[in-house]
Amino acid sequence: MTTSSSPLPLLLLTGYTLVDYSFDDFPLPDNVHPIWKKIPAIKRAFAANPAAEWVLWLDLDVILMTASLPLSTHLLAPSVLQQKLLPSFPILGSSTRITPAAPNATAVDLIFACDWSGVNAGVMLLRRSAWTEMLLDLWMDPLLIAQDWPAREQEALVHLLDKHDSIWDHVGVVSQRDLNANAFEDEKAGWHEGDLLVHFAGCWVNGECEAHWEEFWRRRSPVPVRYLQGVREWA
Amino acid sequence: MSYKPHLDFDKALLHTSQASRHKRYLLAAAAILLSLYLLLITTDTHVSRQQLSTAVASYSPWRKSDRPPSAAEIEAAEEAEIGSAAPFPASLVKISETRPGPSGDQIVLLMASDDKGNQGNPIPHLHDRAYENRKEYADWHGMSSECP
Repeated sequence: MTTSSSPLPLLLLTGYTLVDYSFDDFPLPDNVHPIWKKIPAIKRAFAANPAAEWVLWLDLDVILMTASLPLSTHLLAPSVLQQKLLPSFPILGSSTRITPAAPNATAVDLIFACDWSGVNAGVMLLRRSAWTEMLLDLWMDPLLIAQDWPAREQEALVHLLDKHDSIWDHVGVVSQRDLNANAFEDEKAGWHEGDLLVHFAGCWVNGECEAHWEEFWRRRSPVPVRYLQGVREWA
Repeated sequence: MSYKPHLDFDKALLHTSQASRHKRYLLAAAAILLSLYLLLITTDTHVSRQQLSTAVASYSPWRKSDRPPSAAEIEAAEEAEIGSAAPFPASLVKISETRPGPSGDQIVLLMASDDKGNQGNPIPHLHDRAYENRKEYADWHGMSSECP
């Protein structure tokens, strides 16, 4: 790796932008589950960050396990994404869709991973585009919100991509370990050292949320202390 | 015949010549600036691992902490790091091979919640710890790898 002593590169180091909203900022009727507020939150994240090309939505019960893994080389660089999109992959759960035999990374505006129950909307990447704007509008359709779906906004997303080709054509599916690994020992779905993150989806079913969180919090590879030291001393 | 027209002509010629010279100077300056710019953007600007702490120390408006780690903590962390089998992440080394991907400022990490957690099975201090986890990740990729 070559280096430069020029101060200019340092001025160009911008980092990812972290946005943390409170659901209280997005009023919805009391009878609407607050998880629906993730959709206006995504809209606001795009609006408030005009330079943002991609927004990575992360449920709270996600731990970024490998701090050194950049999103560009892990997933978002076009050549990487092209390789990681799953071809001919059946979406499980209530969807009957199968991903194209030859996915096109440049057409993808929404990336997620599937788990045993199908689409998981707890971790997903959305690209700024007119299509994404349309999706976020349709997703908040009162008719969808009014449905008695157990998985609420996630099931609404499944409905949209399952029933509308214009939605499905912009969806990319990657492997679970690339974007939504779980806490269980499983070759394809469970977190392995070096995977980006772990998501404790459904941990409440067996009351394992805290135990999983503490275990993986200890196992994560955080930012080396020496790097943070430089930042913190001079901040 | 008076020589005056010739003088005027000479003055005009002189003006033209000066203007032309100024244009040449401007063009030369622009060419030099363009060359410097091309040299700059084709130079790999990644900061080496060894230089990072010093480099970051000269530009770091990002975050504040209750306290910086003590010297003993830093030493212990470095020893643990050196002693571990984990190599320097290949993903950082390979980044230039996979461009163009989005730069750091083109990526937003988004979290939003009502702090109520996982359907009756709460995780203590979930929001604060999730924030810490994402903040470290976001800052790290400003320091190390995702130069525009």
